Amino acid sequence: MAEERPEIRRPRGVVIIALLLLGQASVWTATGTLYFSELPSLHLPAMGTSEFALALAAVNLIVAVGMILLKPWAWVAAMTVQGLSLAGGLWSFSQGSHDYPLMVISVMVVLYLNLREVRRPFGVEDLGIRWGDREEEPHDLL
Amino acid sequence: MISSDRERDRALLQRFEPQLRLNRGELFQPMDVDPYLAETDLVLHRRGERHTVLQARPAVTQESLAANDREPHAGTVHLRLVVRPLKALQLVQFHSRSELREFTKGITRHARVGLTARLLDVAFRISLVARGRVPGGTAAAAAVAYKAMRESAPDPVYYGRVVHTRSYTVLQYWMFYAYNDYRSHYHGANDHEGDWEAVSVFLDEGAPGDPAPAWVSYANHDAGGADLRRRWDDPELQREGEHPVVFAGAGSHAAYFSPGEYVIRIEMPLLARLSATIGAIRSVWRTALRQGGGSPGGSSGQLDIAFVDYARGDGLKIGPGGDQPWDPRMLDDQPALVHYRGLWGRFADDPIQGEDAPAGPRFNRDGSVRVAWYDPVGWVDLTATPPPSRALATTEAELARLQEEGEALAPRIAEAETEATRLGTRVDGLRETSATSRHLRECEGRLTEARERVRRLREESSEIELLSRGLELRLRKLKRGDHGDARAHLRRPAVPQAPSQLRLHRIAETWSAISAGLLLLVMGVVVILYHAALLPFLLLFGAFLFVESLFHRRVAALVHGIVVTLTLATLAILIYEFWWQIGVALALALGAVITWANLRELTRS
Repeated sequence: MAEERPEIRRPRGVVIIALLLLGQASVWTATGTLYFSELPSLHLPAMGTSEFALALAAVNLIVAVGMILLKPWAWVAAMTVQGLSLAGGLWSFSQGSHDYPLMVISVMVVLYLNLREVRRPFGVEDLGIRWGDREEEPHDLL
Repeated sequence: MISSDRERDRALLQRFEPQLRLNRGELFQPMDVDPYLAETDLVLHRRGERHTVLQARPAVTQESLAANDREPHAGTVHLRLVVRPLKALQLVQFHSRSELREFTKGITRHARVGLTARLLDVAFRISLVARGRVPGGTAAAAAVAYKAMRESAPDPVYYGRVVHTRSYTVLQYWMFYAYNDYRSHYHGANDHEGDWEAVSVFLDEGAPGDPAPAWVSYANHDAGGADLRRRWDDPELQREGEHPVVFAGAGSHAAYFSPGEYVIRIEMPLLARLSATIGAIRSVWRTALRQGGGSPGGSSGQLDIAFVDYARGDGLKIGPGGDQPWDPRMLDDQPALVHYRGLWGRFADDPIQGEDAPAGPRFNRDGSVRVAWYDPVGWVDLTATPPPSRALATTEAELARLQEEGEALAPRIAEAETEATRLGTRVDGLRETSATSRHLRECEGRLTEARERVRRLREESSEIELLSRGLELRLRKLKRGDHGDARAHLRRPAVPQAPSQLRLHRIAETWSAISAGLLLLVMGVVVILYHAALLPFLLLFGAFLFVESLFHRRVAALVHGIVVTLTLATLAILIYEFWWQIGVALALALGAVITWANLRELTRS
């Protein structure tokens, strides 16, 4: 008899984050070129900014779908996106310009994604265990 | 002790003597102390003064040590084996011929731990310069001296001691090594002259027929407690017939139950408080905030230095069924082992004592008596664990006692209830009359006390009932011969690294070996070029961690760590900038929640 897999419930917050990512993707798709050309601190090359925005929109779309499907890589990617956002926020703060709403949202998303009950359905309870090699003991990086 | 008892003790010691398995290429074996003593000087060390030789070699004997110890000396009395350590050329010659060449280290300890541990290791090595330490070349000189000693006494020796306690008969096997070359030859924590290790077998003499072994304990560095012992039927305990098999650490001679390579962590005393603070923060992060994955026992974040204890057991086997037999000696016949309070080798005046030689089996370095000597049962936390033959009787006796206590409680409860009822009636009566409020209050106070007494007695009765139930279940198990989980007492037992953890690419291993030093060098360059700007430091550290994570295929963990760090930094800024708004928001939120909850309760009722 086939072994029954325990039912995994998708946390509601994950859906909200995925929707946020989808919303962000649509905004970038629509206004990408304009958005990037107005960010002087990024020093992006004049050519290709719209392609860059579209690429980011595509990444957001993929991550959002991955989040809905509870894929482990999507969790890591969502955390990475928030990490970039936080790094940008901290950099702006050090330069005297403040983007507090963005910082608050990113902090909330990270703390939510890092909750044990949210990590569990993604299968990323223990990042010390290498994917595909689950019998190993965690090795400290730090 | 009468002679027949002595013969019986000797026979018991030999019957259960351990088989000791060393590593291939090890230089030192358990030895007879007499030839060692003949090659040592007895020295007095007083702080700020030159060493005084109290007795020069070859006059040092067990008898002279025992006699000398009776004379009061202000300072530290110790033996000294090596007077002239080997010089550079002699060392090259020694290593080219030494058995050490047969020993392979496997992956280095640096590759088994994180970057912090490696950086701390640099600090530890630097600390050796400031701390007292055994001079370089001493280990090799000791090995040369030991080789010569072995020619006169080739058989490995243990010193047996039998301690009869009310619960167990403890067979102690004390082994003496001329030198602990853990640091010099195996990149371990320390070196010192003279090394004492102990293995104990705990016999249950209450069983019908022969005494039966119940527990075994192996000394392991400076540890004590339940983790040092294994039950005789524990599958981890390897045996050759009735002889427990001991796997000794290369150079350290710490004893293990399973063969393998053990990462041991040593916390630097100076960093203990910081480490505790980090631990507390991590605990709040994990428990109160429910953050992180599912392995709360992870060690990252602790500020300690890692060393590898190699206990592979692939070398010489000493003892029954092995390559060489033991030469057993009775410890009580050795005056120096019983009476000499000084150290059994060089005193390096190390503040953390890792490089100082140990005292003998009976004493600690400060001259106090070892717990393992005067309370071998308590040392491994066995005091409260009766031997198997007495477990049934002890449980039955405790159950009977509990039942008696329960029966004795019944009339006391009835009496207290009667008293409470009587007082209750009196209070009701007083309320009906125009009694003074003082009298009524007095009676009500006595009634409250009586009620409380009834509650406490009933609580006690309920606990006795629960405990009795538990003891009855245990009794049933014991009657079936089930003594419970053999490993239930273990909290943090030493576990060898899994074979999969011992495989690492050569480049990754090289990186692990050089990364800490390289990081410090590059940081120096950054300071020169950027005048200690924060960003280049962070980028540099991040780059090192990234390379590290690539080698260990743990990029996801690194990303997670960086994101959490950024989150905490951002959170700190937000709290700093908006602390009063946050306070107001929390108060508003709390008010809203309470109002909502109360309104719901109101509408439902």
